[in-house]
Amino acid sequence: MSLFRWITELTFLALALGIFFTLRSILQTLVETVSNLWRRMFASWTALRLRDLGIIREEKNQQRLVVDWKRMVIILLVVGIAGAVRDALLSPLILLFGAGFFAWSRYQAGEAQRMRINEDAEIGALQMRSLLNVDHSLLNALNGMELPEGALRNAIREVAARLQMHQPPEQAALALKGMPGTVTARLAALIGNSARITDEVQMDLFQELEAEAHRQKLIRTKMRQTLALVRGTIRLLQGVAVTATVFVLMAPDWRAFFLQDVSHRTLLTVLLSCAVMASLYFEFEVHQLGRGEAF
Amino acid sequence: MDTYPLMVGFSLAIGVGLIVNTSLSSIYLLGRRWFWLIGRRRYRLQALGIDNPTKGSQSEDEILGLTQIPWTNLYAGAAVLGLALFFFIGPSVPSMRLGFLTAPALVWLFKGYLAGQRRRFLLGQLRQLLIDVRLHMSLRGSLLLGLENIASTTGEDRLVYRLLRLRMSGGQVKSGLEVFQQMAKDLKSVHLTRIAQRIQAAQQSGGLLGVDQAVAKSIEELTDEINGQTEEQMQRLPLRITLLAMPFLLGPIVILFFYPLVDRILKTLSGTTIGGGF
Repeated sequence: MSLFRWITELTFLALALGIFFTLRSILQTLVETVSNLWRRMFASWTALRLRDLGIIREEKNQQRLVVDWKRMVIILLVVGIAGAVRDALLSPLILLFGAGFFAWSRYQAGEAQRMRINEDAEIGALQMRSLLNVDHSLLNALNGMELPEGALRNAIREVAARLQMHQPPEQAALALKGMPGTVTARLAALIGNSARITDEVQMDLFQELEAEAHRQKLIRTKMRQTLALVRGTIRLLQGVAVTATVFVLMAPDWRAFFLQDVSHRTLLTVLLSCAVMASLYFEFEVHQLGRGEAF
Repeated sequence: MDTYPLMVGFSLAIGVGLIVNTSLSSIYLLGRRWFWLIGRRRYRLQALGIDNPTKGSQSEDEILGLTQIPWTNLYAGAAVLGLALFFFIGPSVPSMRLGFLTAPALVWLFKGYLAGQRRRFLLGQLRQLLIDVRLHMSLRGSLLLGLENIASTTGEDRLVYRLLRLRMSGGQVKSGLEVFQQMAKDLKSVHLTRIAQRIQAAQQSGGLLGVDQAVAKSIEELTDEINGQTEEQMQRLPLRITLLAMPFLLGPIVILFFYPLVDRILKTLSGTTIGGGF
């Protein structure tokens, strides 16, 4: 047996063994991912069914379970384009990009929800300070707050109801636990510890909280104004990129050109991947800067 | 011509790499289990689960919260995928076939990007933490109790807050200053080190300067720095993003639209194709 053959067989063996050893952990990760996905999907489906049956009657869940038509249209559009392209390489690629876009839109919706709660908390802190100044009662201040419809309003109502039932503030504030946002957490801490501190200290802390929230809002607004032009430019380029992609995949001449051989297919795949990755990168960048984490 | 030798070489490297990785991690796990069996005698606090024996030995990935992603699998998957692309598509695209073999480098770059993202906006996060520290110190009465309260109540998942939770979870912390010093060491942050020094100075000043004042001074300093950075970013950002977006978003569109046309024109000029489709 020649030396080259020995090396080739050794190589094959090493590769096969390596892949075999790694397969277990890969499979484990895959199983975990799939089971997590299934659990999430099943949980939302179960909640929807329980609500339909009238078992769950929580007001705060009402908004979450409304069908998002915009997202449904996007899903149908992606599936439609993938079906219309009818290519073994491009159809899965389009589905993959569509899945990426869908995941991103879900993440953004979650972040927008978080942001809304935090902004509501800023309004809440301002109202609480004003109301506490007039009437030095935490319960009256909570009852007097007028917040926009949403998760925070429901949570504040719950805190007030708990206080009404003579729960200590520390326990009552647990209704706000798990709510997103720094201002929300601070508001919860102030409500929870209101029995430990004097009115003056409480007022000072509310004042500081309000000043900080005001500062955050100011910089966020300025940043959003600066980013508006960039966001518009990126949206325009994304729109052109999507149109160009659909055109290239549908127009017979362009389609035939890019699908004629492996090298042209590779070029098309690389270009599409580049456009999608760049698009996601810019979206993330603009989103991160507009979120206000930097300040 | 050199496809097979390269293929053999890289297959060997990937195979050996995977075997070594799996063997070493198995030996490490086995060794840890044996070590645990032999040295079963644990202190009472550890037995009660209050004290974590691995406390203080967190890796950078753990600090940055990157351990949830199976990096070894990703590296292995990228290497095997790159090898398959090199073998099957490589001969058709000779100019970029070696590029397929660099697929694991993409995973490495992605990991670096994620690590960079976690460390980004550290100043803003530190400022938020200090504001929380002031608030909770006023509510609880001391720096350590304030930090404990933040760690137990915050729902934030940003790097600084995650690290604080990690540091407070051991149950062995003696003072708030120690927490700040540990965090500064973990993050290798000059700002956090300065904050820790300021708090230490306040504690040693014998009442001349309060910890609250030291924290307030640090917040002021950070605010000034962040304001400067924000202004700078606002000036630079539109230009930077637009300049980057042009080649990476507009480039592919231009190539997709015009490459077939240019190719046809060139072929027509050279006499290869006259009339018909592309």
